[in-house]
Amino acid sequence: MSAAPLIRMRNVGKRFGEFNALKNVSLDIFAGEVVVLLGPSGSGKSTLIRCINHLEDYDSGDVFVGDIRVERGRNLLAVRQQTGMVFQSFNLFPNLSVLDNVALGPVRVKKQSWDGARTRARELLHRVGIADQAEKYPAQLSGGQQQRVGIARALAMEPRILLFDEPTSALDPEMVGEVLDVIKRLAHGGVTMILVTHEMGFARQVADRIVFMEAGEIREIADPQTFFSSTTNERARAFLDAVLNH
Amino acid sequence: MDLASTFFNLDVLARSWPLLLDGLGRTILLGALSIVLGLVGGLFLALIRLYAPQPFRFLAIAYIDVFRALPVLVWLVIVYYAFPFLGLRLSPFASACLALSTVSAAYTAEIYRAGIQAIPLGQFEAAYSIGLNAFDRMRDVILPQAIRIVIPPLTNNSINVMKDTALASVVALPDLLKQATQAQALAANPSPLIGAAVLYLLLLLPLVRLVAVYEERFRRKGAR
Ligand SMILES: Nc1ncnc2c1ncn2[C@@H]1O[C@H](COP(=O)(O)OP(=O)(O)O)[C@@H](O)[C@H]1O
Ligand SMILES: [Mg+2]
Repeated sequence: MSAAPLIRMRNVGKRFGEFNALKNVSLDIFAGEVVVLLGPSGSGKSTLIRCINHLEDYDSGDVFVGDIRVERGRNLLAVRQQTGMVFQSFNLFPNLSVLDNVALGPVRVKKQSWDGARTRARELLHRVGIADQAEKYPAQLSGGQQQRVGIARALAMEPRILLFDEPTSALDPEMVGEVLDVIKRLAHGGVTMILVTHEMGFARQVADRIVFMEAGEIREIADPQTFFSSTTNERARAFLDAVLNH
Repeated sequence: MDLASTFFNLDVLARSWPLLLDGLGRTILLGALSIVLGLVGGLFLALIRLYAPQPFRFLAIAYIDVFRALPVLVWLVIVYYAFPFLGLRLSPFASACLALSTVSAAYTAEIYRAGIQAIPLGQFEAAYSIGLNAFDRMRDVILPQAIRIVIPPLTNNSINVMKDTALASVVALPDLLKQATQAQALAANPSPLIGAAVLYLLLLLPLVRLVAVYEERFRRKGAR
């Protein structure tokens, strides 16, 4: 690809005390790409994507979103406008209606009117299939519905990239599908995303590239076909055997 | 001399009634003003304590600690009797209001802080992730949730402030207690004091009940 990457990570290191959560991580993500992060629990997947929108402050290296360096300071709000995040535990605002959860960002950050932002929010809720829940409060929704609000909230800021951290891991099994369907549609619609998931079938379907992490390092980057059927990386093989054979 | 004519002398009460009402009005005004100032000041202190750069944070902690340790009465007497030596001469009402609200702010600051810290980290992270600035984060997401948690303790604190207004009689503010003692001296009968006590109760018992009901509701919600 000739275009400049949307996300550029260069030799990123992150420690929690003595513990190295990320070691020398370098990764480029291009517009339109769907990158799935796989790896055992504790391998640094969450830490990696949280460095992109600076929910974690990395200790060394560089992270760029577009041409803005991700760091504390005035540019941070711009970085966060351009990166939407969907959380494992939804983290919807319980004090706001579903509609206003989605409209809040555009109103406060993009200075849109409440009327305009709510109209747009309705469209987004329609897009994730829960237009009829707009007036309710998050606590009145099922987990799957809540996560779809979470996706709509992230989309409302019209970010250049969506970051998903295990978006279906907190859901009851019967609700996983509805959320994955929404993400799949976004992926096929050309939304750039980086996604941590344990849903292997899904990863295989949507990913343009698989990034495999272990012990804070990127061990392999491959297209899904190669990764799932013929990875030569020993640790990736062991990981796949463990998750696929039960 | 029977009990009723000594402590519940209706004749004396009727005569001292205007004085008591006058005092009650001043007590309510002083209490309400001190409560509001304490609520606003405490919020700023809590935010400084939690989020300001280091030297300010330290100052807020020092303020909060000092005013929680200092007896209100001592502080009030200092404001009224010692400040004039610095060239600051305040009326009894202003002295009492200053003393009560500065102390109240220290307590409410700690209440707000506990409320804010009880909000799950995920709420902050979600607010960061959509790019809200610090002000919007607090106004739209954190404080509306924290307020619900802190209403009972803040009401408790307000009750205490209202009770502490009685200390103002020490600096000769004609508040409810002062007017009652005045009336008692005039009539040579303690009925006005009983009248004042009843008025304090009428003022504060509903608030005490309110907190109890709210806490019970909160407890049951939490248990569900
Ligand atoms: N705030 C933190 N403090 C200390 N250790 C942490 C913190 N967050 C993550 N870690 C550690 O860093 C490692 C990587 O965590 P994480 O990125 O969450 O892994 P993953 O998402 O792949 O499961 C884990 O060992 C975890 O215990
Ligand atoms: Mg994780």
